[in-house]
Amino acid sequence: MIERKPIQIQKPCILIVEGKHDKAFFEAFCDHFQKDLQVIALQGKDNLKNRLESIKNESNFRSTVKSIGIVMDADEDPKSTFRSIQDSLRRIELACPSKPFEFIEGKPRIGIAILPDENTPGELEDLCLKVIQEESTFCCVERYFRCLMDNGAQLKKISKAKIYAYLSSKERPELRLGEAAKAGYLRFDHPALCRLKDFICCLTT
Amino acid sequence: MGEEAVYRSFEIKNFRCFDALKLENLTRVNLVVGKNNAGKTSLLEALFLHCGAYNPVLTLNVNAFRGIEIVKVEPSSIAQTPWDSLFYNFNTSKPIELKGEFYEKGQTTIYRTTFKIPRERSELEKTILSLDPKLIGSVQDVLRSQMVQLLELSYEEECHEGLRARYYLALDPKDIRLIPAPPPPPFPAIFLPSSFRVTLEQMAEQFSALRAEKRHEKIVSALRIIEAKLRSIEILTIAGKPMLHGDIGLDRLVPLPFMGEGIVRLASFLLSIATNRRGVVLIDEVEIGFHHSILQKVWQSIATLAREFEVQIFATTHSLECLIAAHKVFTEDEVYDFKLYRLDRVEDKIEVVAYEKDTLDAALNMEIEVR
Repeated sequence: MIERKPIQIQKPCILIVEGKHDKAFFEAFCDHFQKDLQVIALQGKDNLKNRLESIKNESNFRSTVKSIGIVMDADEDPKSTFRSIQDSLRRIELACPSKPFEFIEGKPRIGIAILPDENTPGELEDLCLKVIQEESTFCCVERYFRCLMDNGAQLKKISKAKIYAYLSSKERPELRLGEAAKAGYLRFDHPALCRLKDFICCLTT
Repeated sequence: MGEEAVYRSFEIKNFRCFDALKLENLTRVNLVVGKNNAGKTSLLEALFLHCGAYNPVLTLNVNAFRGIEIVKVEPSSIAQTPWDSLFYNFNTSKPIELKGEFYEKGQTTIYRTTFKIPRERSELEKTILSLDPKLIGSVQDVLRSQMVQLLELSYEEECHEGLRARYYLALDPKDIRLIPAPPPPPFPAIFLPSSFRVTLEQMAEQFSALRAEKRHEKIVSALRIIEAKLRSIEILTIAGKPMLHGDIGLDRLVPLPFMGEGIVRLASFLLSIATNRRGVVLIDEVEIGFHHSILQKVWQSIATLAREFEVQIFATTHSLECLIAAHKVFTEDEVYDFKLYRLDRVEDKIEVVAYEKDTLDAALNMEIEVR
């Protein structure tokens, strides 16, 4: 429950993300491209309709918000994730885009980004993995994971595990992905993040 | 919510800051939040007037709750009336309409109360005399006096053979008259404003009523939230006036006000609930006087008594801790008979945002502002 000052909507463009680490990542990402928007974390994916509705109900929403971007991990099924967001938007009577990465005009205009993309299961970390794969030390991470597999390790979220293995070699090895992004450990201008950048640009245009 | 009597919806037109406002899906305990001057107190006042049903004198009471007690009667017909501030934008040409959808014993009835300032007095004389021919003479004197100001209340029940009636409040420099005398309201209601409390004598009287029915222990037990040493409450007469005293184990009883503001305020809430069975209790700024650590217990006692005495509660607050405490208490109870409403001023209008349980839960979880 709320222990700090509650979040108030303050900017015309808001980006809605899943959790606090995503929030930190996207704040760094948007700062890098000098995009002025407010990132709000849903703090979970269950009860999506209620979470989105609580943002819509905030007292400044109607007078302030002009456009909304929603960024979600595809998880196992990107199409189902997209449909679930569409369904929630319809239920709270907001404009509902028909395709991912496209904005629909409305009050406010709304776009949905599915990560890593609309056809691939996965999450933000899969995109970030593409970014760090070109770093010189990443071959060490690959060797480490081959060794783990050879020795019978049961790995579930391999992308996430590889990212944290890579980040552990940095000056501040304790940082989570979002904080690492803020610390400049990821190259935001990498082609793998190009579509995400375009989405943010479209949101703030 | 069972078979008890409650407002299901409430609609306001042309009252105080409300051009038009409708609250729907009302429940047992309704908490209203909003920024300053969003209309929270005005909403309680509108409910209070509507609960009064046939009694236009309550229009003077709601101004008194705000500290405006002077009733001045001007000789000119264009002078301000004591009721001008009740009308939206002080525009007395449009009537105030209060409409409540009330559920009782499986039936829904709509009660409509309209207030207006009658302009044409010659027609009015006929109307009033048709209501009660016995009033001839006294009423004629009143109406023909230029020193009299009038407020008309129309009451209507929207159901088969529903009651329709009109009552007038007449003010002249010497007197306040009700024409004709109204019957008691259909259900009891009490307004507990933030600025002053129920008098100590009223509290003693409420406690006596419960004592007579041997139901006073519920109040004593609830007040132990604030004063754990409280053994019992007694009524003693001080300077000719009855006052509640607490036994906290000392060798003498202690007047309730000496036990702190919180205990007096909680006692006034609980006594009002317990003595307004099947009625409505309106509490402005419910959090005042309570430390945040006991707010959940305060809500628990309000919820328990409201259910037991079948009372509907409308309260306002500015406090986040207070609304979180309420949400927690009702979430942990078997029945979530609680609802949060926020009044927003959007340009010149007031709009209402209602929070269902899951949306409020999500907002608090996400730390999104709800006030």
